[in-house]
Amino acid sequence: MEVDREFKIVTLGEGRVGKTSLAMRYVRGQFNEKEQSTTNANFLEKNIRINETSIKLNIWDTAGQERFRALAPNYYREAKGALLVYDITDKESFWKVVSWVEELKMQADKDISFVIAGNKCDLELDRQIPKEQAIAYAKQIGAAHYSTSAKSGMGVNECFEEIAKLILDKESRSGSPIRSSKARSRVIVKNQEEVVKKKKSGGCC
Amino acid sequence: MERSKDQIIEDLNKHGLTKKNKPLITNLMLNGPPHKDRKLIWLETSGARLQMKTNPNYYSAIVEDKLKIKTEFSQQIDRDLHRTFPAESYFVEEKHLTSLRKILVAYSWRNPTVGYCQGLNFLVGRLLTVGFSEEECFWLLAQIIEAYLPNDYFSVMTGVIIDQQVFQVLLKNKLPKMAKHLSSIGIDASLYTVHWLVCMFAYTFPKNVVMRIWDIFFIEGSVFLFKIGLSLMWIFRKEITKITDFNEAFRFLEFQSQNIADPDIILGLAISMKSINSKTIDKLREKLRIQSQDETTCNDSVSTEDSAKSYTEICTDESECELKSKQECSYFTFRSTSGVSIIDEYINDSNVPKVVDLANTIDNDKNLVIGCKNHACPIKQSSSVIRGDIEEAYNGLRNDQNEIS
Repeated sequence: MEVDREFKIVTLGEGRVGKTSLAMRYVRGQFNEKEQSTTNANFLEKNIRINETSIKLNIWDTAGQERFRALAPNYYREAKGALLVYDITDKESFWKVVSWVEELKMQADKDISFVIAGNKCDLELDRQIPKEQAIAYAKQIGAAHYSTSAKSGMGVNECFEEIAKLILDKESRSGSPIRSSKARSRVIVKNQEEVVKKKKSGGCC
Repeated sequence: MERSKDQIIEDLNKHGLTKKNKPLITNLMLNGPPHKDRKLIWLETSGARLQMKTNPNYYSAIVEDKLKIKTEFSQQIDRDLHRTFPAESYFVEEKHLTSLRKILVAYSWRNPTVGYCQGLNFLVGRLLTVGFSEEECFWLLAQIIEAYLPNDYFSVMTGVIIDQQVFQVLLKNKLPKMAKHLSSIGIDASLYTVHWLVCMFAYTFPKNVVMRIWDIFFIEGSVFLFKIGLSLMWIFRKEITKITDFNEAFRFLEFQSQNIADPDIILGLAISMKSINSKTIDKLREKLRIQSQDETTCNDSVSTEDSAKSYTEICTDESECELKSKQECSYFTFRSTSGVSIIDEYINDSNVPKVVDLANTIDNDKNLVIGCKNHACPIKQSSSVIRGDIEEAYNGLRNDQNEIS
């Protein structure tokens, strides 16, 4: 399989909002109620196709606690997209998203695309952040907003694919050349096999 | 032999850690202490027991006064309780999670500058599974944070960032080829060492390996974490340098450590690394701290003070060695003893390399053997040859035991 584009994406947000779970659901199609807390960043990849373009997403899933922010630049450096996650049942976690946006605007790649995910939508009854408020904020910063649930799978594919689309749009507008590498695609095929194997054996990383 | 082991432990129990018994305890730790004695030894060597004696009721008083108060830290702790070794049945039991919570919350009150840092849950979790009481865990945690690691490790994490740079420098010095290879595919130590340092490998390796690493950590201090990291890289150096894809390399670094099932190999390597000691690390830390304050990022000028003493050079016929190691085991292969003949007795039937302490056997002067069955590379002594890698790993355990103390 030939890969036309390769994008680095980073997940950011308060601890325990479900960053790892969203990434795992998206890449592996699995949900683990008891996901271990993240200290080192996790790294996941997934190949997708948007229109005629095949894309490899390299997803860096980071630790959420505030003080780990000191380490975050290692992971969001050169990222083209950021998935900013909050927990709809936790007001504070939404304000963390706002502060991440500020930091990324200052420190990250100037063309970085944002998508905001209001996660844990399966817990609608405990919602603390009105959806309208979140959508309005997203609009204001030029980001897309998705209601997601890593548990049910709702909105998960959509939010990640939206990031890919946004990056692709931005690049086609700015006219950057499309890079392709045969050497890379060979490796990717191998990785896909690995992923399939893992799925079959039910193993988790 | 058994009796003298018991005597050492008894002496430790009676008198605490003394100049006289420290080398003996260290020696005991090299092969892994009997599990029943591990708790006592950790408490003594870390200074936790002394803290408990000096501060009786300290822990219970904090628990009594503060446990029920909701704070920013207690909330963060609550979020992490069920995410601490979730795959282990021990951490499914509510009473163990309650203990974990009590210890972490109590510590957040003892040290508000640190409060709670993600990763401490794994440290305490591992301590609990060794069988320590809550109070003992509390003081061990306090000692780790306050006596073993730099004071801005868990608070603002600057110490962690500095130590990542320290590791990068050591890697450049000890495994230059690999360091060069990794940076050519865009992988820097800052990407893969966070949990090594913050959690002291608590979930990097299988539990039995972690226990053995901490055995030595409590004696040698944080320098041992770097030695373990380097040994891990060295063990997989061939595999790593073959990987040319960033993604694949990163994944390899993330997960390969779980395949280290035999602690003897990695411990043997780490213990034998003589050119790195606490002073080396402190100097590097200081230097890098100043550099990072000056906002210069070039680490090239920093070097460790290696003193090449005596190295044992092993395979004179590289291709033969490679062929044999391919046939017989997927790991590295080397041996170091004063005589070849004795080795075979100590290599077991598996094709996994073994480290054997020959201190108490017929051959007394050289005592580290790492190799695999039927591998008979010629060995020769060399006093000055360094071939890039961690050659000093080949040196005997005995010498190091003296240096540790």
